[in-house]
Amino acid sequence: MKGRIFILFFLLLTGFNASAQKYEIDRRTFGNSSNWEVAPVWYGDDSADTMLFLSNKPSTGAVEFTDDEGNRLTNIYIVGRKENGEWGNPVLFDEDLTTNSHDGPITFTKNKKMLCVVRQYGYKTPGFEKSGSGGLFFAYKDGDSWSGIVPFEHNREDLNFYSPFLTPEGDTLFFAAENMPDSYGGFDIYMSRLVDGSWTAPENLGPNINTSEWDCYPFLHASGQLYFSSEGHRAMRKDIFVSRKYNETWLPAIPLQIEAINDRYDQYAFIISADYNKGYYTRKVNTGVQSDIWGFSFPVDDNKRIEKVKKNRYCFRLRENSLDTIDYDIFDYKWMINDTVIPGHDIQYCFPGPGDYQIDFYVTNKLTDTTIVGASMFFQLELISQAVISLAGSSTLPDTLFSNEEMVFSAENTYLPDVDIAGYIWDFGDGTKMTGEKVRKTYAFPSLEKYMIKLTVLERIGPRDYQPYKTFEEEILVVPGK
Amino acid sequence: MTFGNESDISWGDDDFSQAFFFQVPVDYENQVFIRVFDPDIGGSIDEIRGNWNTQCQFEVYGGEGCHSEEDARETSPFGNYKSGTLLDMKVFGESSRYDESWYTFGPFNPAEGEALELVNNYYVFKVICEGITGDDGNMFRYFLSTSANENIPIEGANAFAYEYSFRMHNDINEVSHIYPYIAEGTLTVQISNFDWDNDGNILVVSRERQGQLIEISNEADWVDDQIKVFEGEVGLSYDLQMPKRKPVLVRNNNVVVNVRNQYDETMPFYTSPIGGVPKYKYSIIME
Repeated sequence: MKGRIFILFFLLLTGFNASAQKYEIDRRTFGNSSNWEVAPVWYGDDSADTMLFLSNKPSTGAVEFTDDEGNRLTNIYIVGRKENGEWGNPVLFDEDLTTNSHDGPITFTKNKKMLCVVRQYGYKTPGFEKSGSGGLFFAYKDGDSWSGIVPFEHNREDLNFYSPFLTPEGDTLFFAAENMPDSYGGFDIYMSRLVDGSWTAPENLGPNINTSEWDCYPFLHASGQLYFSSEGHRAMRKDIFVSRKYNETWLPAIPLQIEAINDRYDQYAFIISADYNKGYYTRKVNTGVQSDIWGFSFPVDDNKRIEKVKKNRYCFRLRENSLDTIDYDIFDYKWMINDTVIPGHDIQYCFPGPGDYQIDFYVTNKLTDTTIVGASMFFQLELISQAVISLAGSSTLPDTLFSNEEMVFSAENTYLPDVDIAGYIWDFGDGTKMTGEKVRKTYAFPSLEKYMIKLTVLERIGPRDYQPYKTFEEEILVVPGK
Repeated sequence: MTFGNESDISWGDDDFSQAFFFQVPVDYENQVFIRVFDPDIGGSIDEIRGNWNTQCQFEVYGGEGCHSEEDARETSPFGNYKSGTLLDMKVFGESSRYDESWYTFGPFNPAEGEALELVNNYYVFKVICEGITGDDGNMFRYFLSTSANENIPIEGANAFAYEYSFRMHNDINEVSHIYPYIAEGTLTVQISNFDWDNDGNILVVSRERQGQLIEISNEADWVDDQIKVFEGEVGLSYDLQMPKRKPVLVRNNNVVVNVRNQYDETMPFYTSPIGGVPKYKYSIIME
């Protein structure tokens, strides 16, 4: 019974997005495709055209170092993008950080003045017998070089620390650790804070993140969402999962909602840009086969033209502007709007919809028994020219939605008569992007939060060409559902 | 309506004298005729009291002072109200010849009138009708014509009075109108009415005034009511609308109306309102 409930909950959390997503996913090779390339990171922030990654490409030196299994060692490489948009040749990141053992993964602060890198305790050199587990080491930029390499104060040779992630300001460190006394099993993800110059004791992120299996490669997104890799959480193999904090507690992790990334192979070391438009991860198809870096990107909606969705207004106050006296003993007043008669001199009227309206204001002098049309006006009620975010079958979007409830969002009420609409891009503000006039979406996290939904209209400019026309946004409040 | 001077004022005429003014544009160079319909006192139109015993005297004045004399512009026949040059005169009694027929005064050369600048430049003639004997009521009508024998209007001409004594319609659906002109400098207007006798209402209508009720008088009584003039009313006319009482018809109700400004000066009311028949200017606001 418990298993069935869990499955049901799991399905509710994933949110079925049908085939509406259009992330482009492909293998990205920075160097030689025959080499092992893993764990990409941006050098600085995600707008940087410089990446670092780990690779086991052959040494250019006289001695080729290997690990205990005879595998070539991984080193940290840096690669930049050329003017033509292609990646250049990767080179070793820094000689001072290169050891005779496996180096990396690595992480940086946003200002690139501080880094944290994994180093193995033992160095495999001819005559050296033991390679040990890894520890975390910090380095600080001093001019052009990295210096002052300092070990993480909680390193221990009987513990194995891996895949660090530094927050942009460098005050919080996430990492994976093995053999910790409070571990749930395998590698678990921990967090440590820099307080008064010292790092706090590593704190296990808890059972909603960590499992009895392998949990590794944490990446904290600018939104506060934590992405990580796991063999638990009913993953097929190593899959990417995501969680976020709510009321100081990590919510139960859910699978990554970008379709086609989690598959039957291994996915890990996931990173994604702050605007959710692009990212990288490592994919390994089978044992013995090298791992490769894969990238994904969403159709560009880098559109600076953003407008709030305005409510179409159908209800107005109509009044006679200059009445010096309103004396119903002498006068009767009424309005005739097309064929509809509404008594009174000051009224609220809701037009049934867009269209042309003849508005006449009638005054009857009860003493002389005469009726005149006191004033007239012709009114054209038009819809506001804009994209409209609504739920399917409705013309509006509610202010409040429930989490864990699948909804069909629709752009069907869009009114842009002068635009040849080629399509729509949806951004739900929680890392989910989709394309299509109607999309299914579930806000999976049961937290009280506001999200800005953005709908970008794509305008056709050629038989197969389109460009972003404008982005329309509307804020909603998601409250915990059942 | 003018009654003989032996009448009771409760019948609706307070002073048995009615002065009317006719203005002819100064650039009109042809002769003019002042025609009177049913000037006699008798027949089916007039109001008999006992037997037909009334005579009315019609006098046509022009020349200097016929209008500019202050007494000429007053509401009661006192002082030098017969100012100006007497151009013509006729006395009528019961007469089958003029019963429901026209009598024509003139021809007059327009220059025989008094040259005045009222709204534009005009020559002005004055006609006074007085009941000199008897107690019957004489109902008649004027027309300023280019022809002695038919009613052909003079372009740009107008007629006005400072006090109007008239009979309300004998039809509950009819509305009487008079159009006082609001000259520059008018701040307040006093509207006085006599012997309204509960026969309907008086409404003041203008471009700025949708319809303001004025107090009405009782039998043989005068009532004054004052209203403040709005800026947008200056240079235009009021429409004093006088609807009848409903549903019961009050027949043969004779009444008197005059209008004064804040200086107690009489204000003219024209048969053709200056600035056109005033209509309240409604406007729609949509918000």
